[in-house]
Amino acid sequence: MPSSREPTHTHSQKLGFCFSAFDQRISSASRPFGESELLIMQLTLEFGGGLELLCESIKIHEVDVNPKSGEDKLIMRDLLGWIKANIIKERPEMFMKGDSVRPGVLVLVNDCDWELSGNLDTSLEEKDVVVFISTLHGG
Amino acid sequence: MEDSDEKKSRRGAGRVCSICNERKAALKRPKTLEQICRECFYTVFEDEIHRTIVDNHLFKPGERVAIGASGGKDSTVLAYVLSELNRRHNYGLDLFLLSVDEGITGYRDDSLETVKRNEIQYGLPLKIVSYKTMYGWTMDEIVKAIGLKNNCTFCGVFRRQALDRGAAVMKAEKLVTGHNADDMAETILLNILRGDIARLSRCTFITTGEDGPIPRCKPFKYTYEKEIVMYAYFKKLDYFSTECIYSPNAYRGFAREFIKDLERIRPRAILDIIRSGENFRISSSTKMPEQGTCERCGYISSQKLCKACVLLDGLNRGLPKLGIGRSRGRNNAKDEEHNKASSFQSKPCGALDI
Repeated sequence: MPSSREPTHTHSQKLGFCFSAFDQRISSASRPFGESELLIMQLTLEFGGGLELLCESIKIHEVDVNPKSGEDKLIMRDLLGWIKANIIKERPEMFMKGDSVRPGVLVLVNDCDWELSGNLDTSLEEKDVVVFISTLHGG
Repeated sequence: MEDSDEKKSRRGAGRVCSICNERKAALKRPKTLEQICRECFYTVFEDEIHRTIVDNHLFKPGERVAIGASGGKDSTVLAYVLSELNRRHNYGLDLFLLSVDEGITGYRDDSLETVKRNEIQYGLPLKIVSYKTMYGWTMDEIVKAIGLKNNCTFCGVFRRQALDRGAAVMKAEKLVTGHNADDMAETILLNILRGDIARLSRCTFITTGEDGPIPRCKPFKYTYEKEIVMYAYFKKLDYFSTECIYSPNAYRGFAREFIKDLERIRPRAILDIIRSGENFRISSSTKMPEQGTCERCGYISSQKLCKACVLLDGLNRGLPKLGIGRSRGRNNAKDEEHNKASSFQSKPCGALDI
């Protein structure tokens, strides 16, 4: 794993450019030396059904997420917090309610309903694709 | 690739489809809590809609049927599934898409593009009727004149008539809409919250307006929104999902959120609300509005003038408050009881006024 002084991950956008890339890179690049063992996980996040409007109309986000320090795995609960802080640009209440997604937002991990894998406790793995679709827009 | 296959099997271990017992489950059905795979989901989803259509005698062979199409998820899935079932089960229906152009820049013009793509994708003819040609006003112009209060009342009343008139022009014998089980539960709750007994008694009917020129029916009455969206996602159907720029939707929004919260705790709640709604019996001493026809345009109305004509009158005379709110007044001073039962009042976004 590269040293923590280097930006340890890239952050590309298929459909546009997202400034959260910089936010994330800066914040992790400025971490103190000791945390160089951070696990970085590459994920693809997809927002649909109107949720993309909350993140600058970008539907697909290729991101690198590091689990909370001291943790060696990433679960959906953590990912949602990370998304809220880094990806969602407006009206976060349309995406989350409490510590979960707002009821009516469907979540799929690798095209599988997260209700089958433990909802918030679903653990994520490298290169997972996480899809969020709002059912609350339009008819 | 090998990597992701391995990953899938690791995490997916033990969750096999409870129908075929073979493939990996892809979703949990809210209705039954079954864990099923994609292929079995397509089958049960389509079969249930077919059963609903057959058991409720929604169509007669050879009927010409307009599909109310907004470009949104429900009507897109409805158009897809209905044309599929029509072929598969030989309903013999003559289907076409019917869209209303409310004249909302940046919203309806975009969603109509989706409907135009659906026209080609599903091979269904498309007819678009517009508020501008039908009423002389676009929603943009109406909002400019009346502001953002009550605009959804205008839009809802106008859309309802526009669909009926469009269907009539196109010689349709039936109109189907994509209202789903979640919408239905929400409407039942709203009618209870408003004390709207007339609507409460008929909002659960799967077919309405059978005495009128064009009956309407709702093949998705028992279909969960979650499954509709999952179906559209898995099948990669092309739909439009932006909230109307004029829709504040406050009251309905609360009801919607409440239903979604209930669904998370107990998904069956949605079907149970529908069941409750279906089994309400309105006491025979409750006065119900009598259906007649509008003196001006001939549309069905329980008043002298239909709601659209009253609203239009207000717009054209620069009195846009006309016809808004409970006090109604001018049309019918003597029939106060009827007004209470049939009041439209400030119903936010009438798209779901079933």
